[in-house]
Amino acid sequence: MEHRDEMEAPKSVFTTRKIVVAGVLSAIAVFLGLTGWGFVPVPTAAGNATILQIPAIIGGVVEGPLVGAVIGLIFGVSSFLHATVPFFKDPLVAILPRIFIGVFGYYAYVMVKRLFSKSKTGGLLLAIGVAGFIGSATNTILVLAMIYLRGYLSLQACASIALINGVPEAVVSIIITVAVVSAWWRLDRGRKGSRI
Amino acid sequence: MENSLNWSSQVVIGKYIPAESFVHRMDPRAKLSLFILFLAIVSFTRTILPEVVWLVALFSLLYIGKIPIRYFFSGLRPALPLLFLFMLLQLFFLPVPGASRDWLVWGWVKIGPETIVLIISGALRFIVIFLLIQLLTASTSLTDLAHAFEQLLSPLAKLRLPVHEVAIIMVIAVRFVPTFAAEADKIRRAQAARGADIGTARAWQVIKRTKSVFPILLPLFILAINRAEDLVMAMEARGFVPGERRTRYITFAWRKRDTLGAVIGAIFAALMGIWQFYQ
Repeated sequence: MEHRDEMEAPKSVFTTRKIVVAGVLSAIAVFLGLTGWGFVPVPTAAGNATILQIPAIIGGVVEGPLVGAVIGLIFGVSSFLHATVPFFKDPLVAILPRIFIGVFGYYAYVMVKRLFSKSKTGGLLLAIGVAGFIGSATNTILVLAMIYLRGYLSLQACASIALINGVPEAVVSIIITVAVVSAWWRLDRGRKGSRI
Repeated sequence: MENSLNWSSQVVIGKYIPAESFVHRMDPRAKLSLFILFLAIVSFTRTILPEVVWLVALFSLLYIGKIPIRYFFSGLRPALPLLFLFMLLQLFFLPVPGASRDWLVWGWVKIGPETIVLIISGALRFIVIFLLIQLLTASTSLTDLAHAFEQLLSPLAKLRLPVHEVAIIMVIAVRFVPTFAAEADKIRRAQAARGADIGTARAWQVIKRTKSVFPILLPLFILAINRAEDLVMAMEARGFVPGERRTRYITFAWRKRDTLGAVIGAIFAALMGIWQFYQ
């Protein structure tokens, strides 16, 4: 199904599949942000870790950097529109950095996958996990860099938030990205049956 | 979280409020362009007076647009504690470049008139942008906005940028948010009924706490994937080809008063921009 559109000369960089997957994953990102379900209550400075960047990472891994970028864009616009934290009412902080989440996630995934091209599932799972980490780190680092550059907080404050918030968020991101993508691709994680 | 079927009633920010008014009936393309122009100029204010003028202008638009003021305040209320916390943080941790004198110096904390101006103008800027967003989303449906976005950027499609495709993605996203809200609620009830382990781990057990969202999150993603498969099939069956010319179901008619509104708005924005620049 993935290559059906490529039989004729493609008129667009998108396939129908890419458009739909991007739309659906963006909807999840927007929904999780709106309802507050997109926050895992692990101890961080903000009181919880966000998982809103994860649809963008998954989109990047599954359908490529372009889809990841568009999901990031829509997540950014939604977080800008609905922000209650002052510096997220700045499009340069809320929207611009988010475009890169899925892009960097995708390239991290491709690089690690190439390194472990011999191993079957293990290398793939590792690559997905690294994508989850890099995508989340991209979100943390670029957003805080913009907060610093736009003069909202000092460099020390940004760096400490990056450590206190960023590390748990990256861990949460790895776990969920691996879980969702391996379920999507029906990867065997060496476990029989469902626990949920 | 208790009854997420009603999630839309809790979300006040970005809600469309139908009414008959000049602001509602203005062409979405004009509104979106003015919104972006206003936003760009407001983002670079650093002083208090222009922001007060912005507030007055936007409140009058809110009045012309027949959007109830309490709608704006109910959206702003949850943001206020954060805003105060943020102002307090800035008071202590924000170094102001070129501060001439300090009223209070205590360790690395330096508080002077520049700091105060910067903090108040920052808070006002937040409220102005908040108001601007409320004004746009209360008077324009999200679908109209996505179509306006597509039509405004359509010249870029000639440069082979995927404007139309991104617009379709936005429409799909907007369309599926309520669907997923309803589905997520069903999943939550189903999982609770079968005794799923939702949120019982201790605070420091990061991995266990993360896994506590699995019972809802994983089915939600899988469901989304299944929906996506169906939608791909349905779109292709109806002859959808990405990047192909499509006729429009929703067309906007540009009227004289749209030109009038856009010109007045642009002149106002330009004057504000010049004023802010020379202050």
